Amino acid sequence: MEGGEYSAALWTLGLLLFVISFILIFIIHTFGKDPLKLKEED
Amino acid sequence: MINEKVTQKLVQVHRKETLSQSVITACGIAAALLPFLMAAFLLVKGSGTFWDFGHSITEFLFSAQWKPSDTMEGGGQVGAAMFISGSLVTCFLSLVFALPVSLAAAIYMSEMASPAVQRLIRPVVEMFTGIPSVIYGWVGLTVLVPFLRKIFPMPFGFSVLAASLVLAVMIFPVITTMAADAMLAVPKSWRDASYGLGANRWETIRNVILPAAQRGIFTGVVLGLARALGEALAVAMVIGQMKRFPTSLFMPASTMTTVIANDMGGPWKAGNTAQPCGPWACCCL
Amino acid sequence: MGDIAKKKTMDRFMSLLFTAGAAGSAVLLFAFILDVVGLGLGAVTGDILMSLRDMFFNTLYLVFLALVISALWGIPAGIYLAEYAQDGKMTNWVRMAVETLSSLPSIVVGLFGYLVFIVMTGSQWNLMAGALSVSILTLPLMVSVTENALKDLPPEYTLGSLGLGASKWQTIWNVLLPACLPRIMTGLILAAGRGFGEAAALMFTAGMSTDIDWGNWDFSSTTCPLNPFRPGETLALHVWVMRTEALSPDAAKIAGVTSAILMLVVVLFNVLARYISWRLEKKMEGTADE
Repeated sequence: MEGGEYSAALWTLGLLLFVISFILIFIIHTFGKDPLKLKEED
Repeated sequence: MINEKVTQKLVQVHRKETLSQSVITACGIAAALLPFLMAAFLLVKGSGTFWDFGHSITEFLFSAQWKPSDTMEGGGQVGAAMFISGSLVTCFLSLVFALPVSLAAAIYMSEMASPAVQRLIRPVVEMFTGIPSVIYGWVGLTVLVPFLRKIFPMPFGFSVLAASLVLAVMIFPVITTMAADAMLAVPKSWRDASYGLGANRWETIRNVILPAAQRGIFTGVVLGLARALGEALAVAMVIGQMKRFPTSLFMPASTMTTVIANDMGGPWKAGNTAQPCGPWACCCL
Repeated sequence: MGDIAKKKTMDRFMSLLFTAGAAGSAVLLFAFILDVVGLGLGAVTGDILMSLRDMFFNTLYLVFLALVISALWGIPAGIYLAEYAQDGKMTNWVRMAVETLSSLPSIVVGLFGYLVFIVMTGSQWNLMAGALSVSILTLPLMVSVTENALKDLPPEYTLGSLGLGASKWQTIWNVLLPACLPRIMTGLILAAGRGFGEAAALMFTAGMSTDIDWGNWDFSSTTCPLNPFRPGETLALHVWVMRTEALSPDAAKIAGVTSAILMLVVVLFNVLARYISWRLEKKMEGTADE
């Protein structure tokens, strides 16, 4: 299809994907820290 | 004279030192800035729908009308809800399929397999994380889809179910390796203590190992989810790419990634994207 | 006593469940490999291999370019993290930021690559844009491999070199890096494996067509094989392109062969990388016995 609104919408979808991935990666880094920390708490 | 030579050499070394340090630091900082650069570009490009065409974010996220116009003037509808729900449904379902099997395999690997078997299985599972996604898609297309069409009442075989199954196979190695790693990291003393108190293996697993490993398992699940959400081609090959809501397991649908993969990059004429010109653009649809 | 019996049954039941799960998945994965490699290799004919020749070359060339780019960028970045950056929150953020690059969906990276390397430069689809996009995905690997390799070196290496009067850069270039070479090579091999299998990032950057005239050695022409600024479809992408024709027996065969080749190459790279690490470990263990 031609450019214009359709392509803009698709790019917004791409942006949405990017944002979601970023959020997930952030969640991983915040909550999924080393189990080594458990050892230290012994 | 000797002093001159020595000073010269020292100056040379010093110059190299500052030069190398700058280059190295530049590479390091630039690498860290790259994701933010990407974010900036995608943000600018992706917000065109809202700035230039005056749609609202709520419409984009929640409206079910997807009829964007082909022109620069806009006036169409950009409700992407069916794609978003397509992604969410397929990914959630793939987790439902993959998680139990992953956990079982991980528990087996860390608690029940002999060390020899462990050393064999782990690299194999890890290797599967590196298999190109198009291969999963191809096997799905040639094996899974006809199979599903035979045993289920579905018109095409291309379906939400097919996509979820393919994704499940893709994320299985991801979850398994992370979960197994987490379980293997639990100190042996903990296990010994549990057995010493009279627990059998299942009780140890349930009360000691799994809670201790839960962070790693959680990481594995989120990682798998991220991979599933981002997967484009493999899903596109088996999901049928009909622009409709994922109302039934047995009917085709679309996800965010498949609609991008399918509808982007066609022969552009005008619009706010410059197009690759020349005969190639027209030939490669 | 009924309690203990119940617990025993539960234990046996769960163990059975887990074994079944593990065995089931093993069978599935095995069948998967068998399907791809078996069917694919079964359909190999000279004609098909010839038709894939161009795409194979494209893939090799693109992966090579991507490796060069991510090595030239990633190794210094890794050196930065290991030798020049101070331990602290800032450095952790830098590390995290670099790592996120590899977890991004490849199609998003492809979109970015399309935007920056094609649209904004006004060019055609070309291999270089594809290589740059793939290098975004493999960069974090090179950075972490280099950083970890440097950090794992015994401090005697650095101390000895500095003690002899060498400068920091001289130490890194002449002593530390060569010592890390095997591990860095392992990283390169793994990165190559990733690049080989990439398709979504290349759809809109390197393009989905290929037209090579092997007789043409004019670098600026789009049919010259060595010109990186020409479109070039890669093997992995070819499987995608073939999808619409899965019903015609020919296309199915071609895609099958392509998949088999891809699978074998990726597995080969993986095994190679593992083998080198294994050899390395043995070497390290050897010197410890002195």
